[in-house]
Amino acid sequence: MKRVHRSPNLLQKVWQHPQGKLGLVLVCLLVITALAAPLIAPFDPYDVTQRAEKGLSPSLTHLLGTSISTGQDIFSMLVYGTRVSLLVGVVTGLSTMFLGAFMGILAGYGGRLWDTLIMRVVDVMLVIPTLPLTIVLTNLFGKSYGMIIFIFTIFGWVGLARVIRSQVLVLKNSNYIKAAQLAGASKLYVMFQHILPGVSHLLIMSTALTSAGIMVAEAGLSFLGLGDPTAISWGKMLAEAQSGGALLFGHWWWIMAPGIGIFISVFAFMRVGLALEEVFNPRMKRSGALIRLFKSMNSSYIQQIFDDMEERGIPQIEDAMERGTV
Amino acid sequence: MLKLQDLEVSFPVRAGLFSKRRCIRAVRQVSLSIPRGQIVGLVGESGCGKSTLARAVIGMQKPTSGQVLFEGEDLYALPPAQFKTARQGMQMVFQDPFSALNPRFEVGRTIAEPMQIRGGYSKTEMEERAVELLLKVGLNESDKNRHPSDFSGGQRQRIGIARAIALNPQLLVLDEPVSALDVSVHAQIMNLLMDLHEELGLTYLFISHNLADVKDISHQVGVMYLGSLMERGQTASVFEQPLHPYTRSLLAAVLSLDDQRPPVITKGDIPSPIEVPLGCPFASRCPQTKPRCLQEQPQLLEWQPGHFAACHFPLVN
Repeated sequence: MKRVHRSPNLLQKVWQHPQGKLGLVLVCLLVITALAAPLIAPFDPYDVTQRAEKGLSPSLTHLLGTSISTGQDIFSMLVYGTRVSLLVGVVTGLSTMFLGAFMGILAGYGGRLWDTLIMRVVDVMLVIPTLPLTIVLTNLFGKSYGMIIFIFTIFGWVGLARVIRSQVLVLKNSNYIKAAQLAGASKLYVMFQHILPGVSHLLIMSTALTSAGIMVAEAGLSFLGLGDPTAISWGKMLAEAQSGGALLFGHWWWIMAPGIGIFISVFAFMRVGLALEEVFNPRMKRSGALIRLFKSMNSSYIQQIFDDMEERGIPQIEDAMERGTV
Repeated sequence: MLKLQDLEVSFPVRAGLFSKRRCIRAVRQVSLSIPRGQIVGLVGESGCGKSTLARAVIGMQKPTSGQVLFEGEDLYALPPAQFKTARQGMQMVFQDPFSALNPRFEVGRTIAEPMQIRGGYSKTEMEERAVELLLKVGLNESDKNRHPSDFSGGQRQRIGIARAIALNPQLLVLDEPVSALDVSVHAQIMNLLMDLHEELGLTYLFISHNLADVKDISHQVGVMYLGSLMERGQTASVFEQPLHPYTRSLLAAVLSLDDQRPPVITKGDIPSPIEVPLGCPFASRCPQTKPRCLQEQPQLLEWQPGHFAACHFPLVN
């Protein structure tokens, strides 16, 4: 029998993508670190009895020293912090995906009423500022990662739902769906056999990219003290480093450690997400989505600010200073 | 077998925010019948309502008024369950072979899909039938595991045809099945359609803007213009002795090597379907318009045995 060529599956394609491979390796390392944290970390940072002298410099027993405020082993905190970061990122990514997919498909395929209803809700959600609301809600209902996941999901599905809806509208009019309907296919059949597989690439991609974004957001919120106060996370480590005077004492490793953690995990998920994007949409190849993003930021937005300052901003301030209004 | 009675499909449009609602009458009072085992061709320019008519026939576009009688039953008056079964008796072949197949499905799955939806087939039955259909439309058994992206336009159209005949339908609606294909493939698909018609005793509603195709394949022809049926009759009599001036100008527009007659050139453009003029729809472009044509819409009348035309002054010699 003739051997039929099987196209490589999704994971293999991302693996073959040079930057996707790096991303996958890093994601795997992060997952292993999170799962095996008690084995990797030399100390249990949650255990009050395992605390050493405060503010030790890096040594063989304490690879990254100990914190000035509590004497916890910083390397162990870094390892345990992976758990929070990954958990919040991935869980939010997944829940956003489910909610966004459900709402998007319902809007695109559920009929006019659902479409109008969901899209109006989306419009409203898009103009609500997330951060102030997060501060209000966490203060109202208690600070926990569940709350953070909930808030990011509630605001995160909106963009995804819009993208999914427009793709569903395209698919809905394709002839293969008409053919299935002619054969007597029910709405549910069309939805699960044709529409859901047709938008799955968007879902997978968005999950990877959302997870990356949420990890940064989580670190930011923890830094502001809006995360779970009992958990050890990278954001909270940064906050402690700042309040504990890491800069004052020159303990740069205390700040660098969680920073690098955040960088690596975001970088890994972004890499996988962008590799997926190129696998699904080969036209994007070789142009480097990340580079394009920075370029567009540099060229338009930042340049404009500099131009503005050059043109009128600085002389105006000087004028104002002369007149004594500033 | 299929009968259309005063079928009318119109779409509401609004030209501006405050202007009053108007209607596009895409299909206007069309009556047509297709006897079992026959091929009825429908010709007309782009935008004359051929595809809307096809959609109404196949149950995808509810008509504004009029009836679609399939096997004597009013399709749109049936309860949902019976509507579904009745509709399984007719299938469609689409114009664009590229959007007609799900790029994610293997060909075997695409062809077996109607059987899977209807249910009552075992897995091996479906597989065997899919292979049988593949061979019937001139493809190989091994093609069943390949994806649509591996096939050319003509091959994809064959797959689309295989899917359409999978449920043994009585009526096949062919909406410009060959107009997206290049000339050599075009002829192959036309031959395939004719072979299948003979072999399976199918009934076709064949829609095309290509007069030569319609002449080759159909027993009867209908000519549409601006949503109305202008002329219908046996293929031979319509092509050799057109009664309607519109049909005559259509036929004259076809280039021919041995025909030395000067072409009949119609002046002007097709009027907008939003404001179809009173009277004969073709009056604005007809070479022989008379005052009556502008006031009264001609009915489709039988001027010769089995040959109908909607014209006040048909070209009867």
